Amino acid sequence: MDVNVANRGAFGSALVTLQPGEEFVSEAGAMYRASGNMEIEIKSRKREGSGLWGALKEGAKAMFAGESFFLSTYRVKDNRPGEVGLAPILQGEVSSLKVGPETWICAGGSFLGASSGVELDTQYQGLKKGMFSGEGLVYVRAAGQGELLVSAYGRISEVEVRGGITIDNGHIVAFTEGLEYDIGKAGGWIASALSGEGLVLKFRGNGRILVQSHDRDRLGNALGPLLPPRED
Amino acid sequence: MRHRLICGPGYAAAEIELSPGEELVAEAGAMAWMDDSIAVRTQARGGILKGLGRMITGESFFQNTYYAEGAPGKIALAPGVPGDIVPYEMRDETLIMERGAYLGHSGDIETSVSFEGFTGMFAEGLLALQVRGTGLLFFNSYGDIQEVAVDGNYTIDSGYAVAWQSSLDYSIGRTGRSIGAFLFGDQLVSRYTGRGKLWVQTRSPRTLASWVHPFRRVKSDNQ
Amino acid sequence: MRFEIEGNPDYGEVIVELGPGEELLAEPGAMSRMSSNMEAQSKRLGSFFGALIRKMFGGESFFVGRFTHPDGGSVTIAPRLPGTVTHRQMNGDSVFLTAGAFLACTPGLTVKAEFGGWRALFSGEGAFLVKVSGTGVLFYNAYGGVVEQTVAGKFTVDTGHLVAFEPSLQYTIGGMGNLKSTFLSGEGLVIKFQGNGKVWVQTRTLDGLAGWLTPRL
Repeated sequence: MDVNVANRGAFGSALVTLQPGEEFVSEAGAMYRASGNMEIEIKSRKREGSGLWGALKEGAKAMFAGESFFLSTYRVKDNRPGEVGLAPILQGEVSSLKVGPETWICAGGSFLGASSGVELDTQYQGLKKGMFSGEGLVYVRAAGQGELLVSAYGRISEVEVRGGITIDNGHIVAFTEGLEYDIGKAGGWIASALSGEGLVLKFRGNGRILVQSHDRDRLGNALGPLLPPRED
Repeated sequence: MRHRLICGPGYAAAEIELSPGEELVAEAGAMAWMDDSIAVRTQARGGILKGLGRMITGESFFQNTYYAEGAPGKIALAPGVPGDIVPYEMRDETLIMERGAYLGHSGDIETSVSFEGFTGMFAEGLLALQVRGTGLLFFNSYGDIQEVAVDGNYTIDSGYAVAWQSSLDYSIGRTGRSIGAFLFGDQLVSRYTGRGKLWVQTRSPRTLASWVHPFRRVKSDNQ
Repeated sequence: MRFEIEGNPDYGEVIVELGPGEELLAEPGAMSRMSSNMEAQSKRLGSFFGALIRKMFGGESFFVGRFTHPDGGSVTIAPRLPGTVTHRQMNGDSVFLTAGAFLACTPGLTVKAEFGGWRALFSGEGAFLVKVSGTGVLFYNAYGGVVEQTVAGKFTVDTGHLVAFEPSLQYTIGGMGNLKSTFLSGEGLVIKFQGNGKVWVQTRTLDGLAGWLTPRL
């Protein structure tokens, strides 16, 4: 298996080459090109205890938070290598991360794909509850062994934690498990509301953090009102 | 007529220099800046009536023709979406392209609407543009553009097709499962066969439309 | 104060190192990360805006973010829309920006709303202009790439594509030309410059993105 990440200008993408017998998983709908011998299987993520409607509601929420309800699995149909190209929804860079030495937590909208040895937990509730929302923030935990693909809105940078760093929630791509963090506001309540700053994560300890230069919600909030209203 | 691409491949714009007598036809709204010597004529699109005549809500019925009056001048065309531009010399050929990929052209080029696809369960397919003739064509992408020289067969998700030469055969089909009315994870794919050039973009307008859905205002009864 | 602009031309962001007590003022929501001792505060710029001017900085409020700490610290600022970020050292001079282009500045600068005329008022976002004057550092952003044009005579810019221009230029805001072209050309409003000076334009607009996406919803 070969994972080739290309970040040309403003748009990153990944080209995964698979040998017979190998498997790769991605957010459903991320595939944009594939060789003729690629087999694509779309699976729903199992959620214990809920019926189909419950699962679909969760899926709808998950989709709008940035994670598809469905995952696509790719493998070759014959005995030749095949390729599948994966691309995110918005403009921005793609990065490949090694899972194994580290377990990664991907922020909502960042998960793009993973090799079959990576265990994905898409209902990760390890995060402390958001201050104003009734539910936890939707994050994907990637453990096990293999390669993880993440995408960003904008440019990806790795930041040092050092004495402590505060990162706006909309700018987090992924971070390694083991880091300590608190969810809070950037300043006082009123000051934050007035200055437009939203939720932040304050990190401490040892680990790696990937951030993105831009915030998807700011694009959505700017673009949404300019579009025709929706039915539902 | 001279042209150059600026700010590509992420946010490409095309700057075209027109001399008196030269004309540039462009998509309504594409003009970003221009010299004082550039004048404009607005007309209804003739091509609309030639194809299936299907107007999509929000699309402009008009095209603009820019020309230099009295002195040469430059005009910059910019697409609405981030991505790249391809300036393509057409030599008595036909290209089929995604509807929104067309930016502008000069020369003896005709555009008409065509429906490429199949009427499956959801009557889905691609509303495309047929571009025919000789001249300079500007088309744009959402994302990067990758040129694929198809020789045999190639599959792409339909949302990522920008343009292809009419020498290619293709069929549109589905992959994956659909659960009732839910299209999550369902992909419309185009399988190209034969020999010819295919331009692929690295982002899909359809997924962007799904992504922005929750940010749109909800229709109230008063609207 | 030290700063570094990273990510240009596609994803510009400004990494600022503030010395003890130094201040940075930024548009609402612009902070992407900062050293953990920093706190976001707000500052009201209400005295600079008249009652007629609405929708400054993409919202109804006239507040900006204020970043400072007695020990100093770092703060990274990113614009709402991706593209090229430019810094301009101001030395008692002035420059005009479209409202959406303002990203951040040091406190020695004043930001005043410039009334773009009645047609600009009703055309929506992007037509509002601000005049930045004083001494200090100004950061402004473009959606997409930014191109500098040197005007010697006349020049026309679609209002959505305007980023900034020098005060030496005169301008009028209007339609494309004849009545038919104005309403049917789909161009909306244009700014016609006259004189000698520099104009900065951008290669994408939020309205353009909305227009491109609408038929695909």
